[in-house]
Amino acid sequence: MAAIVSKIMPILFTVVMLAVMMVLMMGVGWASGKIIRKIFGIGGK
Amino acid sequence: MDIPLLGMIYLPISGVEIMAWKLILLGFCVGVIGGFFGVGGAFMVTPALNVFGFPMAYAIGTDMAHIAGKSIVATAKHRKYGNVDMRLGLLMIFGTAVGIEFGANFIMWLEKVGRVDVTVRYTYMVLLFGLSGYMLYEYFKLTKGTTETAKPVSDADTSGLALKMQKLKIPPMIHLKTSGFHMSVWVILGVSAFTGFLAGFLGVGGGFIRMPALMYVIGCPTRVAVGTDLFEIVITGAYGAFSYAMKGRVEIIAAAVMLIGAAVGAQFGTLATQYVKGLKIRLYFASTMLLAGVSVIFKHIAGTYKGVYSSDLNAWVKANPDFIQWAQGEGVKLGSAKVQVRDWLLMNKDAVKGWLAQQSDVFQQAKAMETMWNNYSGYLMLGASVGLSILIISKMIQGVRLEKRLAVQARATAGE
Repeated sequence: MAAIVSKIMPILFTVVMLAVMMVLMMGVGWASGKIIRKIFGIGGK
Repeated sequence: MDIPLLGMIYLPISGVEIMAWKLILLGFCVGVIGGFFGVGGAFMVTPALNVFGFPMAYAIGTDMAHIAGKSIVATAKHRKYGNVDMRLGLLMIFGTAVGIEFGANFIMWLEKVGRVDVTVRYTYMVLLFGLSGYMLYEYFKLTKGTTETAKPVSDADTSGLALKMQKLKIPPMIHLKTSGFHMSVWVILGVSAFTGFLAGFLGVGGGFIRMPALMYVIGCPTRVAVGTDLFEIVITGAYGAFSYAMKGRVEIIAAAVMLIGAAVGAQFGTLATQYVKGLKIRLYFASTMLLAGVSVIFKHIAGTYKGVYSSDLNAWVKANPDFIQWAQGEGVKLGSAKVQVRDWLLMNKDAVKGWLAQQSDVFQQAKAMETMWNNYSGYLMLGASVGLSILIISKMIQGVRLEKRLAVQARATAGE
Protein backbone atom coordinates (compact mmCIF):
# COMPACT_ATOMS: atom_id res chain seq x y z
CA MET A 1 0.00 0.00 0.00
CA ALA A 2 2.78 2.42 1.02
CA ALA A 3 4.62 1.61 -2.19
CA ILE A 4 1.57 2.40 -4.30
CA VAL A 5 0.95 5.68 -2.42
CA SER A 6 4.59 6.71 -2.78
CA LYS A 7 4.30 6.14 -6.55
CA ILE A 8 0.96 7.88 -6.94
CA MET A 9 1.66 10.92 -4.72
CA PRO A 10 4.23 12.64 -7.00
CA ILE A 11 1.96 12.09 -10.04
CA LEU A 12 -1.03 13.47 -8.15
CA PHE A 13 0.98 16.40 -6.84
CA THR A 14 2.27 17.25 -10.33
CA VAL A 15 -1.20 17.01 -11.89
CA VAL A 16 -2.79 19.15 -9.14
CA MET A 17 0.03 21.72 -9.29
CA LEU A 18 -0.24 22.08 -13.07
CA ALA A 19 -4.04 22.13 -12.95
CA VAL A 20 -4.08 24.89 -10.32
CA MET A 21 -1.65 26.92 -12.42
CA MET A 22 -3.78 26.47 -15.56
CA VAL A 23 -7.01 27.42 -13.75
CA LEU A 24 -5.39 30.54 -12.27
CA MET A 25 -4.13 31.55 -15.68
CA MET A 26 -7.55 30.99 -17.24
CA GLY A 27 -8.80 33.46 -14.66
CA VAL A 28 -6.07 35.94 -15.65
CA GLY A 29 -6.97 35.40 -19.32
CA TRP A 30 -10.69 35.88 -18.70
CA ALA A 31 -10.17 39.04 -16.65
CA SER A 32 -7.70 40.53 -19.13
CA GLY A 33 -10.06 39.69 -22.01
CA LYS A 34 -12.84 41.64 -20.28
CA ILE A 35 -10.54 44.62 -19.72
CA ILE A 36 -9.23 44.57 -23.32
CA ARG A 37 -12.76 44.48 -24.74
CA LYS A 38 -13.78 47.30 -22.42
CA ILE A 39 -10.79 49.44 -23.46
CA PHE A 40 -11.46 48.93 -27.18
CA GLY A 41 -15.22 49.06 -26.78
CA ILE A 42 -15.81 45.70 -28.44
CA GLY A 43 -18.84 43.51 -27.74
CA GLY A 44 -18.76 39.91 -26.46
CA LYS A 45 -18.40 38.35 -29.90
CA MET B 1 15.64 49.89 -8.78
CA ASP B 2 13.80 46.70 -7.93
CA ILE B 3 10.16 46.95 -8.97
CA PRO B 4 7.83 44.54 -7.13
CA LEU B 5 6.60 41.69 -9.38
CA LEU B 6 8.81 42.92 -12.24
CA GLY B 7 12.22 42.78 -10.58
CA MET B 8 14.57 39.90 -9.85
CA ILE B 9 12.92 36.60 -8.91
CA TYR B 10 14.52 33.49 -7.50
CA LEU B 11 13.79 30.22 -9.30
CA PRO B 12 13.92 27.54 -6.59
CA ILE B 13 14.27 24.42 -8.77
CA SER B 14 17.19 25.57 -10.93
CA GLY B 15 18.56 27.89 -8.20
CA VAL B 16 19.11 30.95 -10.44
CA GLU B 17 17.77 34.51 -10.39
CA ILE B 18 16.16 36.18 -13.40
CA MET B 19 14.35 39.46 -14.08
CA ALA B 20 10.59 38.81 -13.99
CA TRP B 21 9.77 41.49 -16.59
CA LYS B 22 11.80 39.63 -19.21
CA LEU B 23 9.76 36.48 -18.66
CA ILE B 24 6.47 38.42 -18.67
CA LEU B 25 7.45 40.24 -21.89
CA LEU B 26 8.47 37.02 -23.61
CA GLY B 27 5.30 35.30 -22.41
CA PHE B 28 3.17 38.19 -23.65
CA CYS B 29 4.78 38.29 -27.12
CA VAL B 30 4.57 34.53 -27.63
CA GLY B 31 1.00 34.66 -26.28
CA VAL B 32 0.05 37.16 -28.99
CA ILE B 33 1.78 35.10 -31.69
CA GLY B 34 0.40 31.77 -30.44
CA GLY B 35 -3.17 33.07 -30.24
CA PHE B 36 -2.87 34.60 -33.71
CA PHE B 37 -1.16 31.73 -35.56
CA GLY B 38 -2.31 28.73 -33.54
CA VAL B 39 1.18 27.59 -32.66
CA GLY B 40 2.88 26.85 -29.35
CA GLY B 41 5.86 29.05 -30.16
CA ALA B 42 8.58 26.87 -28.62
CA PHE B 43 10.81 27.73 -31.61
CA MET B 44 10.79 31.33 -30.33
CA VAL B 45 10.71 30.83 -26.57
CA THR B 46 13.59 28.39 -26.17
CA PRO B 47 16.29 30.45 -28.00
CA ALA B 48 15.01 33.66 -26.37
CA LEU B 49 15.22 32.09 -22.90
CA ASN B 50 18.77 31.10 -23.79
CA VAL B 51 19.62 34.77 -24.40
CA PHE B 52 18.09 35.75 -21.05
CA GLY B 53 20.47 33.34 -19.32
CA PHE B 54 17.69 30.93 -18.35
CA PRO B 55 19.15 27.49 -17.55
CA MET B 56 18.63 25.41 -20.70
CA ALA B 57 18.11 22.19 -18.76
CA TYR B 58 14.78 23.65 -17.61
CA ALA B 59 13.92 25.69 -20.71
CA ILE B 60 12.00 23.04 -22.67
CA GLY B 61 9.95 21.77 -19.70
CA THR B 62 9.12 25.31 -18.54
CA ASP B 63 8.24 26.24 -22.09
CA MET B 64 5.88 23.23 -22.36
CA ALA B 65 4.02 24.20 -19.16
CA HIS B 66 3.64 27.77 -20.40
CA ILE B 67 2.50 26.63 -23.86
CA ALA B 68 -0.15 24.29 -22.41
CA GLY B 69 -1.57 27.05 -20.18
CA LYS B 70 -1.51 29.68 -22.90
CA SER B 71 -3.19 27.34 -25.40
CA ILE B 72 -6.08 26.69 -22.98
CA VAL B 73 -6.74 30.44 -22.74
CA ALA B 74 -6.44 30.93 -26.52
CA THR B 75 -8.52 27.85 -27.41
CA ALA B 76 -11.35 28.92 -25.08
CA LYS B 77 -11.43 32.26 -26.84
CA HIS B 78 -11.23 30.75 -30.35
CA ARG B 79 -14.08 28.36 -29.47
CA LYS B 80 -16.21 31.36 -28.55
CA TYR B 81 -15.56 32.79 -32.02
CA GLY B 82 -16.45 29.43 -33.68
CA ASN B 83 -12.90 28.78 -34.86
CA VAL B 84 -12.40 25.34 -33.25
CA ASP B 85 -13.47 22.21 -35.13
CA MET B 86 -13.77 19.87 -32.14
CA ARG B 87 -14.48 16.72 -34.20
CA LEU B 88 -11.47 17.31 -36.39
CA GLY B 89 -9.26 18.20 -33.42
CA LEU B 90 -10.24 15.12 -31.40
CA LEU B 91 -9.70 12.81 -34.38
CA MET B 92 -6.33 14.37 -35.11
CA ILE B 93 -5.12 13.73 -31.56
CA PHE B 94 -5.19 9.97 -32.22
CA GLY B 95 -3.25 10.24 -35.46
CA THR B 96 -0.76 12.67 -33.91
CA ALA B 97 -0.07 10.35 -30.95
CA VAL B 98 0.69 7.43 -33.28
CA GLY B 99 2.81 9.64 -35.54
CA ILE B 100 4.87 11.07 -32.66
CA GLU B 101 5.65 7.54 -31.46
CA PHE B 102 6.86 6.56 -34.97
CA GLY B 103 8.88 9.78 -35.23
CA ALA B 104 10.57 9.17 -31.86
CA ASN B 105 11.44 5.61 -32.90
CA PHE B 106 12.84 6.86 -36.20
CA ILE B 107 15.08 9.26 -34.25
CA MET B 108 16.37 6.37 -32.15
CA TRP B 109 17.18 4.45 -35.33
CA LEU B 110 19.00 7.50 -36.75
CA GLU B 111 20.95 7.77 -33.49
CA LYS B 112 22.18 4.23 -34.00
CA VAL B 113 23.23 5.07 -37.56
CA GLY B 114 24.87 8.28 -36.27
CA ARG B 115 23.14 10.72 -38.66
CA VAL B 116 20.58 12.23 -36.33
CA ASP B 117 21.81 15.83 -35.93
CA VAL B 118 22.39 16.52 -39.62
CA THR B 119 19.14 14.85 -40.74
CA VAL B 120 16.99 16.65 -38.17
CA ARG B 121 18.52 20.07 -38.83
CA TYR B 122 18.27 19.83 -42.62
CA THR B 123 14.69 18.50 -42.49
CA TYR B 124 13.81 21.38 -40.18
CA MET B 125 15.34 23.92 -42.57
CA VAL B 126 13.68 22.39 -45.66
CA LEU B 127 10.29 22.43 -43.89
CA LEU B 128 10.60 26.01 -42.64
CA PHE B 129 11.87 27.46 -45.92
CA GLY B 130 9.63 25.23 -48.06
CA LEU B 131 6.44 26.11 -46.16
CA SER B 132 7.23 29.81 -45.88
CA GLY B 133 8.31 30.00 -49.54
CA TYR B 134 5.10 28.36 -50.75
CA MET B 135 2.89 30.53 -48.54
CA LEU B 136 4.64 33.74 -49.64
CA TYR B 137 4.33 32.68 -53.29
CA GLU B 138 0.61 32.00 -52.76
CA TYR B 139 0.09 35.36 -51.04
CA PHE B 140 1.79 37.40 -53.76
CA LYS B 141 0.03 35.41 -56.50
CA LEU B 142 -3.39 36.06 -54.98
CA THR B 143 -2.82 39.72 -54.16
CA LYS B 144 -1.14 40.62 -57.44
CA GLY B 145 -3.12 43.42 -59.09
CA THR B 146 -5.81 43.56 -56.38
CA THR B 147 -4.98 47.17 -55.60
CA GLU B 148 -6.40 48.15 -58.99
CA THR B 149 -9.36 45.78 -58.89
CA ALA B 150 -12.35 46.57 -56.70
CA LYS B 151 -12.46 43.49 -54.48
CA PRO B 152 -9.37 42.48 -52.50
CA VAL B 153 -8.90 38.79 -51.67
CA SER B 154 -9.67 38.08 -48.00
CA ASP B 155 -8.68 34.41 -47.81
CA ALA B 156 -7.25 31.81 -50.19
CA ASP B 157 -9.62 29.26 -51.78
CA THR B 158 -9.42 25.59 -50.82
CA SER B 159 -6.20 24.19 -52.30
CA GLY B 160 -6.26 21.63 -55.13
CA LEU B 161 -4.73 19.00 -52.85
CA ALA B 162 -7.39 19.59 -50.17
CA LEU B 163 -10.17 19.29 -52.79
CA LYS B 164 -8.72 15.94 -53.94
CA MET B 165 -8.53 14.78 -50.30
CA GLN B 166 -12.14 15.82 -49.69
CA LYS B 167 -13.21 13.83 -52.78
CA LEU B 168 -11.76 10.58 -51.38
CA LYS B 169 -14.87 8.70 -50.24
CA ILE B 170 -13.29 6.00 -48.09
CA PRO B 171 -15.77 5.06 -45.32
CA PRO B 172 -16.32 6.01 -42.56
CA MET B 173 -16.94 9.60 -43.62
CA ILE B 174 -17.31 12.41 -41.10
CA HIS B 175 -19.10 15.74 -41.40
CA LEU B 176 -16.93 18.60 -40.13
CA LYS B 177 -19.56 21.19 -39.33
CA THR B 178 -17.24 24.06 -38.37
CA SER B 179 -14.94 23.54 -41.36
CA GLY B 180 -17.94 23.03 -43.62
CA PHE B 181 -17.23 19.79 -45.53
CA HIS B 182 -17.28 15.98 -45.36
CA MET B 183 -14.06 14.01 -45.16
CA SER B 184 -12.89 10.43 -44.76
CA VAL B 185 -11.74 9.62 -41.22
CA TRP B 186 -8.76 7.77 -42.73
CA VAL B 187 -7.54 10.91 -44.51
CA ILE B 188 -7.66 12.90 -41.25
CA LEU B 189 -5.87 10.13 -39.35
CA GLY B 190 -3.27 9.80 -42.11
CA VAL B 191 -2.54 13.54 -42.27
CA SER B 192 -2.33 13.87 -38.48
CA ALA B 193 -0.10 10.78 -38.25
CA PHE B 194 2.24 12.32 -40.83
CA THR B 195 2.42 15.71 -39.09
CA GLY B 196 2.81 13.88 -35.75
CA PHE B 197 5.66 11.86 -37.24
CA LEU B 198 7.43 15.05 -38.32
CA ALA B 199 6.87 16.62 -34.88
CA GLY B 200 8.21 13.54 -33.07
CA PHE B 201 11.12 13.30 -35.46
CA LEU B 202 12.08 16.98 -35.08
CA GLY B 203 11.38 17.00 -31.33
CA VAL B 204 8.99 19.96 -31.59
CA GLY B 205 5.33 20.55 -30.72
CA GLY B 206 4.45 20.57 -34.41
CA GLY B 207 2.02 23.51 -34.50
CA PHE B 208 3.91 25.11 -37.39
CA ILE B 209 3.53 21.90 -39.46
CA ARG B 210 -0.07 21.12 -38.45
CA MET B 211 -1.42 24.61 -39.16
CA PRO B 212 -0.41 24.57 -42.87
CA ALA B 213 -1.49 20.89 -43.12
CA LEU B 214 -4.95 21.83 -41.85
CA MET B 215 -5.17 24.59 -44.46
CA TYR B 216 -3.57 23.00 -47.52
CA VAL B 217 -4.23 19.25 -47.08
CA ILE B 218 -7.47 19.09 -45.08
CA GLY B 219 -8.85 22.35 -46.52
CA CYS B 220 -9.87 24.27 -43.36
CA PRO B 221 -10.37 28.05 -43.54
CA THR B 222 -7.38 29.89 -42.00
CA ARG B 223 -9.15 30.85 -38.75
CA VAL B 224 -10.47 27.31 -38.19
CA ALA B 225 -6.95 25.94 -38.81
CA VAL B 226 -5.60 28.31 -36.13
CA GLY B 227 -8.27 27.42 -33.55
CA THR B 228 -8.21 23.66 -34.17
CA ASP B 229 -4.42 23.54 -34.04
CA LEU B 230 -4.48 25.35 -30.69
CA PHE B 231 -6.98 22.80 -29.37
CA GLU B 232 -4.50 20.04 -30.21
CA ILE B 233 -1.64 21.96 -28.60
CA VAL B 234 -3.64 22.01 -25.32
CA ILE B 235 -3.59 18.20 -25.24
CA THR B 236 -0.01 17.65 -26.44
CA GLY B 237 1.30 20.57 -24.32
CA ALA B 238 -0.44 19.31 -21.17
CA TYR B 239 1.03 15.85 -21.68
CA GLY B 240 4.48 17.35 -22.34
CA ALA B 241 4.25 19.60 -19.27
CA PHE B 242 3.25 16.64 -17.09
CA SER B 243 6.03 14.47 -18.50
CA TYR B 244 8.72 17.14 -17.95
CA ALA B 245 7.34 18.06 -14.49
CA MET B 246 7.67 14.42 -13.42
CA LYS B 247 11.35 14.60 -14.41
CA GLY B 248 11.77 17.78 -12.33
CA ARG B 249 12.42 19.89 -15.42
CA VAL B 250 9.64 22.48 -15.05
CA GLU B 251 10.68 25.70 -13.33
CA ILE B 252 7.18 26.29 -12.03
CA ILE B 253 7.71 29.91 -10.87
CA ALA B 254 9.12 30.91 -14.27
CA ALA B 255 6.29 29.09 -16.08
CA ALA B 256 3.68 30.88 -13.94
CA VAL B 257 5.33 34.30 -14.49
CA MET B 258 5.50 33.71 -18.26
CA LEU B 259 1.91 32.55 -18.23
CA ILE B 260 0.72 35.84 -16.71
CA GLY B 261 2.09 37.60 -19.79
CA ALA B 262 0.93 34.84 -22.15
CA ALA B 263 -2.65 34.79 -20.80
CA VAL B 264 -2.97 38.51 -21.60
CA GLY B 265 -1.07 38.22 -24.90
CA ALA B 266 -3.26 35.31 -26.08
CA GLN B 267 -6.33 37.56 -25.69
CA PHE B 268 -4.81 40.10 -28.08
CA GLY B 269 -3.68 37.42 -30.55
CA THR B 270 -7.04 35.65 -30.62
CA LEU B 271 -8.98 38.90 -30.91
CA ALA B 272 -6.71 39.96 -33.78
CA THR B 273 -7.77 36.93 -35.88
CA GLN B 274 -11.25 38.48 -35.98
CA TYR B 275 -9.93 41.69 -37.51
CA VAL B 276 -7.13 40.49 -39.81
CA LYS B 277 -7.93 38.79 -43.12
CA GLY B 278 -7.12 35.09 -43.45
CA LEU B 279 -4.66 35.79 -46.25
CA LYS B 280 -2.77 38.30 -44.10
CA ILE B 281 -2.56 35.74 -41.29
CA ARG B 282 -0.92 33.40 -43.81
CA LEU B 283 1.52 36.15 -44.85
CA TYR B 284 2.60 36.88 -41.26
CA PHE B 285 2.85 33.16 -40.53
CA ALA B 286 5.08 32.64 -43.59
CA SER B 287 7.32 35.55 -42.50
CA THR B 288 7.63 34.02 -39.03
CA MET B 289 8.60 30.66 -40.53
CA LEU B 290 11.20 32.40 -42.70
CA LEU B 291 12.79 34.06 -39.65
CA ALA B 292 12.67 30.76 -37.75
CA GLY B 293 14.51 29.17 -40.71
CA VAL B 294 17.25 31.83 -40.51
CA SER B 295 17.48 31.17 -36.77
CA VAL B 296 18.00 27.45 -37.48
CA ILE B 297 20.82 28.38 -39.90
CA PHE B 298 22.48 30.35 -37.06
CA LYS B 299 22.04 27.29 -34.83
CA HIS B 300 23.58 25.16 -37.56
CA ILE B 301 26.64 27.44 -37.69
CA ALA B 302 26.86 27.23 -33.88
CA GLY B 303 26.68 23.45 -34.22
CA THR B 304 29.64 23.35 -36.62
CA TYR B 305 31.75 25.23 -34.04
CA LYS B 306 30.57 22.81 -31.37
CA GLY B 307 31.81 19.98 -33.58
CA VAL B 308 35.38 21.22 -33.05
CA TYR B 309 35.47 20.20 -29.39
CA SER B 310 32.39 18.01 -28.79
CA SER B 311 34.00 14.60 -29.35
CA ASP B 312 36.78 15.41 -26.81
CA LEU B 313 34.21 16.79 -24.37
CA ASN B 314 31.98 13.71 -24.70
CA ALA B 315 34.95 11.41 -24.12
CA TRP B 316 35.84 13.40 -20.98
CA VAL B 317 32.23 13.22 -19.72
CA LYS B 318 32.00 9.46 -20.27
CA ALA B 319 35.19 8.95 -18.25
CA ASN B 320 34.09 11.34 -15.48
CA PRO B 321 33.30 9.48 -12.19
CA ASP B 322 30.50 11.96 -11.37
CA PHE B 323 28.82 11.21 -14.69
CA ILE B 324 29.22 7.43 -14.30
CA GLN B 325 27.61 7.59 -10.85
CA TRP B 326 24.79 9.81 -12.12
CA ALA B 327 24.20 7.70 -15.23
CA GLN B 328 23.86 4.53 -13.12
CA GLY B 329 21.17 6.16 -10.98
CA GLU B 330 19.25 9.09 -12.40
CA GLY B 331 20.45 8.89 -16.01
CA VAL B 332 19.11 5.35 -16.59
CA LYS B 333 15.61 6.80 -17.12
CA LEU B 334 16.87 8.84 -20.09
CA GLY B 335 17.81 5.89 -22.28
CA SER B 336 20.69 6.16 -24.75
CA ALA B 337 24.23 7.15 -23.70
CA LYS B 338 24.10 10.17 -26.01
CA VAL B 339 21.00 11.55 -24.27
CA GLN B 340 22.59 10.87 -20.87
CA VAL B 341 25.71 12.85 -21.83
CA ARG B 342 23.63 15.71 -23.25
CA ASP B 343 21.52 15.96 -20.11
CA TRP B 344 24.50 15.74 -17.77
CA LEU B 345 26.20 18.53 -19.71
CA LEU B 346 23.08 20.69 -19.37
CA MET B 347 22.99 20.14 -15.61
CA ASN B 348 26.74 20.61 -15.02
CA LYS B 349 27.69 23.81 -16.82
CA ASP B 350 30.38 24.71 -14.27
CA ALA B 351 32.15 21.38 -14.72
CA VAL B 352 32.18 21.96 -18.48
CA LYS B 353 33.58 25.48 -17.99
CA GLY B 354 36.34 24.03 -15.80
CA TRP B 355 37.21 21.45 -18.47
CA LEU B 356 37.22 24.05 -21.21
CA ALA B 357 39.52 26.37 -19.24
CA GLN B 358 42.18 23.66 -19.36
CA GLN B 359 41.88 23.14 -23.13
CA SER B 360 43.72 24.72 -26.07
CA ASP B 361 42.87 28.14 -27.53
CA VAL B 362 41.25 26.46 -30.55
CA PHE B 363 38.63 24.78 -28.35
CA GLN B 364 38.02 27.93 -26.32
CA GLN B 365 37.62 30.01 -29.45
CA ALA B 366 35.24 27.46 -30.94
CA LYS B 367 33.15 27.56 -27.76
CA ALA B 368 33.06 31.38 -27.86
CA MET B 369 31.92 31.32 -31.51
CA GLU B 370 29.26 28.70 -30.70
CA THR B 371 27.88 30.91 -27.90
CA MET B 372 27.93 33.94 -30.19
CA TRP B 373 25.92 32.25 -32.98
CA ASN B 374 23.47 30.78 -30.46
CA ASN B 375 22.98 34.31 -29.12
CA TYR B 376 22.37 35.63 -32.64
CA SER B 377 19.69 32.99 -33.04
CA GLY B 378 18.13 33.98 -29.71
CA TYR B 379 18.21 37.72 -30.44
CA LEU B 380 16.66 37.11 -33.85
CA MET B 381 13.77 35.16 -32.36
CA LEU B 382 13.37 37.64 -29.52
CA GLY B 383 13.30 40.56 -31.97
CA ALA B 384 10.91 38.69 -34.25
CA SER B 385 8.49 37.90 -31.41
CA VAL B 386 8.47 41.52 -30.15
CA GLY B 387 8.16 42.96 -33.69
CA LEU B 388 5.40 40.57 -34.75
CA SER B 389 3.43 41.18 -31.57
CA ILE B 390 3.52 44.94 -32.18
CA LEU B 391 2.43 44.38 -35.80
CA ILE B 392 -0.44 42.05 -34.84
CA ILE B 393 -1.74 44.38 -32.10
CA SER B 394 -1.52 47.43 -34.38
CA LYS B 395 -3.46 45.55 -37.11
CA MET B 396 -6.06 44.60 -34.52
CA ILE B 397 -6.45 48.24 -33.41
CA GLN B 398 -6.81 49.32 -37.07
CA GLY B 399 -9.49 46.65 -37.55
CA VAL B 400 -11.41 47.74 -34.44
CA ARG B 401 -11.35 51.39 -35.59
CA LEU B 402 -12.53 50.43 -39.08
CA GLU B 403 -15.35 48.33 -37.64
CA LYS B 404 -16.49 51.26 -35.49
CA ARG B 405 -16.32 53.66 -38.42
CA LEU B 406 -18.40 51.31 -40.58
CA ALA B 407 -20.94 50.89 -37.77
CA VAL B 408 -21.32 54.67 -37.49
CA GLN B 409 -21.74 54.96 -41.28
CA ALA B 410 -24.33 52.16 -41.28
CA ARG B 411 -26.29 53.88 -38.52
CA ALA B 412 -26.13 57.19 -40.40
CA THR B 413 -27.37 55.51 -43.62
CA ALA B 414 -30.21 53.80 -41.73
CA GLY B 415 -31.20 57.18 -40.19
CA GLU B 416 -31.53 58.84 -43.60
